[in-house]
Amino acid sequence: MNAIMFAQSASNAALVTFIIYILAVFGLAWLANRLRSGKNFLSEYFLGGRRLGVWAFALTFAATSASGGSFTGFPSKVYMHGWILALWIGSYMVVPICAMGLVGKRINQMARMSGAITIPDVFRDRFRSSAFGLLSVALIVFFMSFNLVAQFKSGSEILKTLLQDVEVFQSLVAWIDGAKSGTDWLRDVDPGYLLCLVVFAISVIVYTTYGGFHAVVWTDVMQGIVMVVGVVIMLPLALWQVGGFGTATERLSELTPPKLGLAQIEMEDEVKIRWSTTAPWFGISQGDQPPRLFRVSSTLSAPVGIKTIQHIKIVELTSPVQVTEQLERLEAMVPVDWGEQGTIVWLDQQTRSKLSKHKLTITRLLDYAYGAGKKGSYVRGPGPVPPKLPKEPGTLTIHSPQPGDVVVLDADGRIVVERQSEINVVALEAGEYTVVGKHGSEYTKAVKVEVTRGGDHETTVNWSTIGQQEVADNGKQPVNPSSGFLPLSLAISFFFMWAISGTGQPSTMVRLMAFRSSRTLRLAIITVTCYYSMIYFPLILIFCCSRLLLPGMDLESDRIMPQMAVTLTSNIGHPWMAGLLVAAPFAAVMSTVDSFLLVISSAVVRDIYQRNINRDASQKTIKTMTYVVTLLIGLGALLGSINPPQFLQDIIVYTGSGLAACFLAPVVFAIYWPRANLQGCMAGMIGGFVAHLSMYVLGVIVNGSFFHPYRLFDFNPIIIGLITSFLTTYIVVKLTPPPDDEIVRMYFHRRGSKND
Amino acid sequence: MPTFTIFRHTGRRDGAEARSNNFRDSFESCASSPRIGTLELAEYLKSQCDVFEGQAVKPSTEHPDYDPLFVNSRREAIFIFCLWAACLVWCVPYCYINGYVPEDQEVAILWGLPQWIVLGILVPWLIANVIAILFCIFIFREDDLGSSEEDAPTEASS
Repeated sequence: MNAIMFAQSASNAALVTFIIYILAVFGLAWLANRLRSGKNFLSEYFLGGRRLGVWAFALTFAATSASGGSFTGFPSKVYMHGWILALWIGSYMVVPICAMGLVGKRINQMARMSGAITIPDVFRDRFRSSAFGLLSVALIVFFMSFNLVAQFKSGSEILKTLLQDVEVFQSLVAWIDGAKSGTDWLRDVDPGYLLCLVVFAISVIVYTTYGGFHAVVWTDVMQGIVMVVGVVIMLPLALWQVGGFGTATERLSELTPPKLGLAQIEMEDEVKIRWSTTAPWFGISQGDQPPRLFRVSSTLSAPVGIKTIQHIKIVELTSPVQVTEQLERLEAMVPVDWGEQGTIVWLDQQTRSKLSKHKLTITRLLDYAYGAGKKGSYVRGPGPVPPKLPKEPGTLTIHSPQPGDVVVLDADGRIVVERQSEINVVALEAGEYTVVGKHGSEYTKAVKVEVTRGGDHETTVNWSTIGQQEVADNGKQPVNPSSGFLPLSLAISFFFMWAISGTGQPSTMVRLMAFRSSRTLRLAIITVTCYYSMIYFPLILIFCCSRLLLPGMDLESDRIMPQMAVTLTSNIGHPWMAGLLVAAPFAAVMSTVDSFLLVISSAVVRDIYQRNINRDASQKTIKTMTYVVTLLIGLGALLGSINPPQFLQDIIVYTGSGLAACFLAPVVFAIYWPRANLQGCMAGMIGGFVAHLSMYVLGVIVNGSFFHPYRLFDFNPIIIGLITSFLTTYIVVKLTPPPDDEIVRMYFHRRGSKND
Repeated sequence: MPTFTIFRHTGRRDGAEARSNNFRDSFESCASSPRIGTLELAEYLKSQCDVFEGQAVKPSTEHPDYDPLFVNSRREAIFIFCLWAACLVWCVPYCYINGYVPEDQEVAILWGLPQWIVLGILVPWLIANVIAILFCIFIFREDDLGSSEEDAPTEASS
């Protein structure tokens, strides 16, 4: 009861924090709009008049770079894979100096020379080519629009986590659930997600559209402060609660990765009143041995009228030490009588009262694809890799005189289920399978598992009907073989990824066109260097501790950040702090989304409309156009996020690496090589795009999925894209005539006076 | 002090700080070399400047009259790239050799953390930070970025 009350007070604190935060954001947008009046609209709106000082520039840069991934995806990865994430993110030690110092001063100077406001502007002026400008606009709009949809979804999910226990929110969700039932295209959308998406999107669109760059920068500063404060508070709390560095590492090195699975519960009677419980634990008695311990992921809910709850995601702890510790915690809250071997015991009073008579069947239980049974997987490379559970499973019921010795092969002859004697109801991805059994002689049977959204589907194989056949030898390889989370080639790739490809992001480069002076850049590099060190390494420490404090969250690790915030603050009795801590990831997403929104709208208004359609457009027209375009892009992203595509994290990786493959080489050559010409840089941009894309297209052919790209020499596609882009630019420049002397003199030669 | 003399004779113009520094670097390296005499040094310096001893000198085609900001930025970029490469060359192999160990091999602990993390990531991270800060203080030049159209009075937006 105390835990529930605490969760409620933490959620109310989160709501209050959120409201204060949103009010502050709108206040800053209003101030920014006031500040802009009377000045050059485009430059002020998209670039803040190139007057950013040290703190504003440093924090907007840091906050924009640290997207939602830093506070949701990254903690989740640390939780899942352990200390190896330190190497994964190791190049962040030089990200500030690389991303700001490699091209910062020079790109700022060139943008000032030509009055450029966007990156396409810089290319257009440097090479005197509208075609190049439009090509870069097309690539920016293509990549960043997808990314915007992914970020919108991320922001909405975080907001949902923040507010899910708030009563007002729950009432609104119930109302929306009823209201949307008549709308076909909203039928499958989670009402909570929809509400959060609308609130998130409208907030960002309004303050970005109204306030422009200044609003984005000021809110970034606020968000940057929120992020670092969140981390600085969490680190000592986490270390204190696990007993310090040494204890945490020792305990972590004792752990083995858990098993992930699916289960179903058959109740004796139909559910009369809808009920749900949050992430309950259950154990299976093993007689004299310690019981097996499972956690249900997320919420266990039973809608009215059903008798069977299918496809419940479960996690089984496998480390004896962790099982003992967790059992002690749970048994301290409710008394437990384990009974005879095989008895299933729910370890909270609420679920026990709801599930008095029932049968629980584990339908899949998978070992980690890498690291299963290995102690110390979380403290050494290459880091454990979880198995893939079927996303939308169907059920295959195998009726057999002897349920053991059953093997199910997929269409490629790989084993998907093997020798799990307690399983005779198997949850499988839709597809064609072969069931193989051994009962003195070998039997096989081809079966088709079908899944239709929202329905119960079952394919039954009656063992007695199976014909006798030989079992193929190729059916012995395990499904999803893995070489670990971070093999050597990927470790090298990620060293490129963060430091080098981070430099090639248009959203990053636009920031570099906005600082006031070289001195500002110099101090900002120092500031961001310290800032990143205060954020990223501590995040690894905090979320390595989270596996010890919050075991069994492997299937909902994206929620580890807010859950950790609530746990840490609950343990010290200060619920209001949870709101502050949970605001950090929300701030991170917002600060990225607003910047992306501006980059896309500036590309459309400046590079397409003003420079190609209406060169003589008045300030008033430009202003109206800018507001309308920013609004429309935001609304487009909102609509795209209502039914977002799957693989959002993969989309973010694809777009980020794709932008770097397209933009980094042309920018570097354009600003540092006087000989660089239009043909070379355009070829480099196209070459980078094609090489990077081709790795993903090859992924479809070789691996069967666009988002499992082909890894040439085992490297990430970003490496292939960057190398191709740099080589192509260099070779084509050498083979084509040099640029006009006038251009070279303008951009590379000394001017007659300081402020020429 | 010879360096000051040379600066005076080159008739240095505003914004030519980078070239002055090149001269200083060149002078120092030449002066410390037993194989380069004063005459060679004087010839080299003449080839690097527009004005020498009050007389116009034809600029060298091998050393165009580059914008100092461009020259400085390029030099700084090379330094930064080398720093990144040095981190890559240390961190990845060190972590791979010491952190990717078989299950039966104990992971050594240092300062309460896995040793391969401390020496492969944490210490290099701190050193990289120190180098970055020293770079900003001592190597990074505060070049003039030039003016932009925003500096000029513009039509008020309506």
